[in-house]
Amino acid sequence: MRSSSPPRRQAATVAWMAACGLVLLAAEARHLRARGRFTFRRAATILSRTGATPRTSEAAILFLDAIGRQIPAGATVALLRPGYEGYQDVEDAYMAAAGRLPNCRVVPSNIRAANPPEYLASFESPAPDARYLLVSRPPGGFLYRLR
Amino acid sequence: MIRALEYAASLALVPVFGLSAVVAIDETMAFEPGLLAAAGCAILAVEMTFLSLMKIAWSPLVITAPLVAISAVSLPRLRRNRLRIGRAAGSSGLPAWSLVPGGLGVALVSMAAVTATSTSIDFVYFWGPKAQQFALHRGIDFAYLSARDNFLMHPDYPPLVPLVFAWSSLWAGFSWWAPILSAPFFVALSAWSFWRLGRRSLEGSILAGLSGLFAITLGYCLVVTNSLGNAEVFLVCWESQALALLTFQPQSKRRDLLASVMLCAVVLTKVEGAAFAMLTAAAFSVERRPAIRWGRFFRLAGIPLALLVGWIAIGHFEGIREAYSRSSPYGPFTLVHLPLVVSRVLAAGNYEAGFLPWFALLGVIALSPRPAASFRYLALSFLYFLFVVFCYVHGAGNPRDWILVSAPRLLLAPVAFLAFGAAAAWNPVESDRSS
Repeated sequence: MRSSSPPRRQAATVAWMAACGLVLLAAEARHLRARGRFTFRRAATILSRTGATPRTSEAAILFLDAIGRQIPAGATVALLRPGYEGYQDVEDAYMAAAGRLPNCRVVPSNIRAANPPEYLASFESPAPDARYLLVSRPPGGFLYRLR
Repeated sequence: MIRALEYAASLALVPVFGLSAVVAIDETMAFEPGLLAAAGCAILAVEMTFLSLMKIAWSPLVITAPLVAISAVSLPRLRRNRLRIGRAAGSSGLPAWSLVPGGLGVALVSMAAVTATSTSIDFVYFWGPKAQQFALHRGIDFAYLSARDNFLMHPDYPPLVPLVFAWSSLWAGFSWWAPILSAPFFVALSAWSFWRLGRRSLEGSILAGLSGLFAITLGYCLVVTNSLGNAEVFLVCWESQALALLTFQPQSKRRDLLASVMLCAVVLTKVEGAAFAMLTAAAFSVERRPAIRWGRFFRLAGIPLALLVGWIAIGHFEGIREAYSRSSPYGPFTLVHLPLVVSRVLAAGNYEAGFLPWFALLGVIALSPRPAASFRYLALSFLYFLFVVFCYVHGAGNPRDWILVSAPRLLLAPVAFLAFGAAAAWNPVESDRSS
């Protein structure tokens, strides 16, 4: 430890650091509070309070976990969200499903016309398709199997 | 509970893996957890990549045995030098309360982690899936990375983060929670190394305040940018280890080599880590005599550069080159959007707090007795800012949304530069070290 700066300068700097630190802590606490109450209790999913639509994210993860228990390992599956079928939506759904369904072969939903996967998971809304049979309605969506 | 213990055991082994490298270079640093963790992760990533290339399936035993054996070789050296190590690791004389400010910052990050308030979407989309797939495949799954459907998973991103997550998955199965819950530990490690290595250079109240402010700032920025689970948590921790060594340890070949091991972890963690490593190595090699300048630069940057070239070569041969390809995946270099990019990147530094993280650290520099001693760090911040701008001036599309989601995280490196710049400005011996 060394001490070679005037005490007044040091005191001013410590006061500045303390003030800035407290403001940042308060801003962080406010950020956390805006997304839910203060707690150290673990959330239901890893996205339960994250982003602009945390309820949707949480429901999607719970839905994927539920269908992951129903689809046999190695089966091909596509996740779609009716009404959200733009390029980025398809990619996002594909990557989210690829992570949550590691034992299945996840494919992007936009290939289903030409190369239908064995299972179709439709988040939130039904996705009626004559080629598919509804096999279950887990919370958050619909699971179909190729006839 | 048993699964949590298995995770804890797998992560506790990582610093042990780093022991051999740290002790071989400087045994007095053998009890610095941040340095050991950075070295351990870098060595683990290199070994797991090597095993994958050799088509040897990963298992806890196959990975652990050689690394523990190598680390065990360093134990006699530790024993021989225990008095010297004990003196170096000895008490700082600082009261425990000096850790309280940093502890508060870490506590809020812990709350954000456990309540899933700041989870990174990149973790959900590619860091996590890659790690999970690698663990299931018992090796880096190059076929998975090169699959056409997975091109948005950034196949050639440096491998350290998914490899470390995969390592713990080999023990206890993949957990989506473990990487997020480990984030507060990395913030704590960053601040701890600042506090520990700075304790012989800075006056007690300045050290306590600055290390606390660093932990709070880092934690705050990671939380408001939704970075938990993302590679930034690792990156900024390794960057902090390198900067702590270069800022607080006297200039020597050993210090430079140890810092280069930290920079190895940096380049293996994220693409932008290469820019950090090269800029830092250049800034700490400034010297009038060319022979010394270049010698110092290659001591700092040589091994990280070799590892980076090795990873790019692997990407080339495995057909997964994307970020490191000659043509940017986002499009060719263009200055069409330059004014927009500059203004948006500057705005990204707001951090929902009116730029307070920057002003807080710049204020510490302005109030210091030797603000000029922080020039190197200010220059590094500015050069890194230019690098961030360079990243976004590619492609014909409007980069506004791209900047919005990623620039605040990229700017964490300049925040770290400023924190250590503030330390340099308050360090009475810093001016003696500047060449």
